[in-house]
Amino acid sequence: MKKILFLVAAVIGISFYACDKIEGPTRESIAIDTTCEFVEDNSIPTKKVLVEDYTGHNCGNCPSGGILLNDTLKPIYGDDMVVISVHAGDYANVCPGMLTCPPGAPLGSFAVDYKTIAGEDWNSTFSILFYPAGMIDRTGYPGNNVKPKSSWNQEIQDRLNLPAKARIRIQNTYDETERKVRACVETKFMEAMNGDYKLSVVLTEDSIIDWQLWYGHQPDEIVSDYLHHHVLRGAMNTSFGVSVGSGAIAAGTKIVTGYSADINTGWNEDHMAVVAFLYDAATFEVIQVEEMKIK
Amino acid sequence: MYQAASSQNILGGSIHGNVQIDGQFYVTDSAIGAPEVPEQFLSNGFANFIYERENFSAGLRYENYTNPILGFDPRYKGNGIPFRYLNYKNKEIEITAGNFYDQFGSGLVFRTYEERGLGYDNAMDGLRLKYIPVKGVYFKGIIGYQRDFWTKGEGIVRGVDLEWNINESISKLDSLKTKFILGGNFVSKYQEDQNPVYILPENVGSGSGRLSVIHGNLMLTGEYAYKANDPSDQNGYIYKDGSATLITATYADKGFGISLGAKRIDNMSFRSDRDANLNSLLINYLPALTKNHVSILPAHYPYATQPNGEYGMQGELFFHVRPNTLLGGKYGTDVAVNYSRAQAIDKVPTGDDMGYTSEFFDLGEEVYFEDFNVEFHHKWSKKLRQILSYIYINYNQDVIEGTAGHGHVYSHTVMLETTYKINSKNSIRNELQHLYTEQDKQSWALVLLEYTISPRWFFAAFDQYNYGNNFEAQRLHYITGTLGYTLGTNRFQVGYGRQRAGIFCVGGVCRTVPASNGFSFSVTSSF
Repeated sequence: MKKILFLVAAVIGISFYACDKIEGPTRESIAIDTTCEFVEDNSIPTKKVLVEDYTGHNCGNCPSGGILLNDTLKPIYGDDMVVISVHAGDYANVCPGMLTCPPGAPLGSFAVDYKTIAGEDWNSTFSILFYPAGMIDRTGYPGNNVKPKSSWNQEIQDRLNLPAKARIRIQNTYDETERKVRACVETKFMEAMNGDYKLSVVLTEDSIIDWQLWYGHQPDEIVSDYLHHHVLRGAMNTSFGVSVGSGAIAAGTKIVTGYSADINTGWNEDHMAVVAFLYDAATFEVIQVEEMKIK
Repeated sequence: MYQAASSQNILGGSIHGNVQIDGQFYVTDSAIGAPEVPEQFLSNGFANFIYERENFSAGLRYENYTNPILGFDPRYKGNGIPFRYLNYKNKEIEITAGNFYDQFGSGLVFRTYEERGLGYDNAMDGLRLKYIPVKGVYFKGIIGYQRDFWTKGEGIVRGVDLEWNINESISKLDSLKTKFILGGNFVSKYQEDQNPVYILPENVGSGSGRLSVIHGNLMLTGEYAYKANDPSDQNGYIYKDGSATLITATYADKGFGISLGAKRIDNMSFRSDRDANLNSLLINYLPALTKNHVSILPAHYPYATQPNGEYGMQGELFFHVRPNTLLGGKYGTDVAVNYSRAQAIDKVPTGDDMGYTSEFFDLGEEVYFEDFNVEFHHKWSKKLRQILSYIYINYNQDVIEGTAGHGHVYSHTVMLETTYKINSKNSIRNELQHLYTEQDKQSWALVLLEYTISPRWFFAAFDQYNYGNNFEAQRLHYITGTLGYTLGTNRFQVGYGRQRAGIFCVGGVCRTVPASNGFSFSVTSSF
């Protein structure tokens, strides 16, 4: 009996000590830099539009979405259209190891993980089920936030025709030695507003050459040198940003915040940019967006 | 190249083992989407060597993937000895150092095993202690890392299991017709938190309790498992705890048998690396609770367990219709009816990192899989037997294959298998199968012929014809021929033909099978 009691005690003892329960916050706290300064500027902004392209390197239909955005629409709208390619969901899983890996994909292909925590959080929150999926300023949430490709151009035009309710300025400082970027963001409310508003600041990398499944591409559908544009690399101030205003906000109100992030050695700092966007926390609708290269 | 072996006596002990070599020469076949294979020939092979002397045993397995056959994870590429162990056991204690496979209860918390057909191997590499302190009480303790192709996962797995066979240990109860077996276990994994965003639990614990009651021909088993917060790639880094419940009941008597099973799985993927996916580094095993169809056409649509959440149930009934009745004929007829269903659990999103809440008895709306099948086995004469089957499958392609935009496949399959024994050595077997569906690649027909000359030779050929494909160019024949020869404990098989693309599952664990065309061979031997 002593032997059994000892074993039972051992089982219970190990059970209590070999398990960590996270009761408190589940995310590391974000350090907000309060030392940022901007020179006075009273210029009147124009409305810019945020276009999110939910995609994956193993999504054979996705290149059509990326090409429409980057080769057709971007030349038309230029800097007024800010694109983020969000690699998320099962089609963005790495190979080998996924059920939907392209048959015959060479060893080492599709091995770079472009998924991000922010991208997965957005993918889940915005119920992205089909790829490519586009969101234009995150309008229509919930239920009508995913826009068909055929409507992207019109939706973009409609958003650009709106008056700018806010202005965003970004100042980036890049430390080459530490591979660290410091992004200062000034958010100015151009008119009186009422509600809860958040600012999201994220990092993107442009012109990444890597594998992509591309249905209909000749001579091979498994493409080794696909040009990936504006790929989301991570959020600098959590997946859904930080609050920059709530309740009644007077016209002219300015909020300045700053954030830092490490630039991974595998990322090309010459192609990286900070994207900041202000949105209505209740509806997710993007009020204004700005993009600035980190160097 | 190949030489049959036999058991050897060495150093007072004996060596035995087995060898298998599978190889395939590939032919590019653009019609079916079979890719070009630069190596032209791919091969998987292994050899087990086990030495035993009195209470001591030692073994190793050499594996050779040069390069892995299409459909097997390319990370297997290479060769070496990934499995080796030393073992000592007596009546009370057993100690294993090195690699081992084991299971606690039904495996909801811990199961390591190898399934070569899937390329699945999550063997432990560490220490295991089995101890029987008193009659009827069985203790297991394990610690180590798990195999991850040619490396090991970064998480440490440690666990204990205690099983009490009450009737065995209490002599007064030994003669009771009702037997009780009680068990409990706890398994914990450790993996360092290096995530810059999340505050992750480095030690994640999981445990279960189980009870089996056996009364004559009736057996009831139940197990409930709980897992603490375990944010992972599989569950989208949510902090909700997990649970799994599995209940089965079986009753069998002469000419009659019934089995019922039910399960509920809620966020129960448990891996020794939180970033691993698919079949890598799984610590536990979640059974599918669906019938594993081995016939070719119904196997087009197998089920893969959904560890993030599912309800499952299965019922199976066997009975024998007596001879000299309308349905029984001269020799009687065996009838088997099976129904299974897997469905989502209801999830209410919390909007934070807890992910969702879910009430135990609330079903989700989405059906993942449904299978109704019935089989009639009838012996017409001493020479002629037939099996007639009908199988209905509702297959949620998006959920099971992890894709989007396909929806459900509803398939109806009818099969007739006929075996005719020509004489004591020669027999011929025929299968006619027809699968009807309006989804996926639409309807298929299959004819199979197999001729066996016992005990050594068999010849088989079959044609799967996707005659109903909506695209005329895809209405293809997948013809395969196979020849096999058995000599003692050695078996040789060669084949040539087309393999259709699909997924292959065993017990709810799956892998993709790409389309291929070519010549294959297999050699197995034990000694």
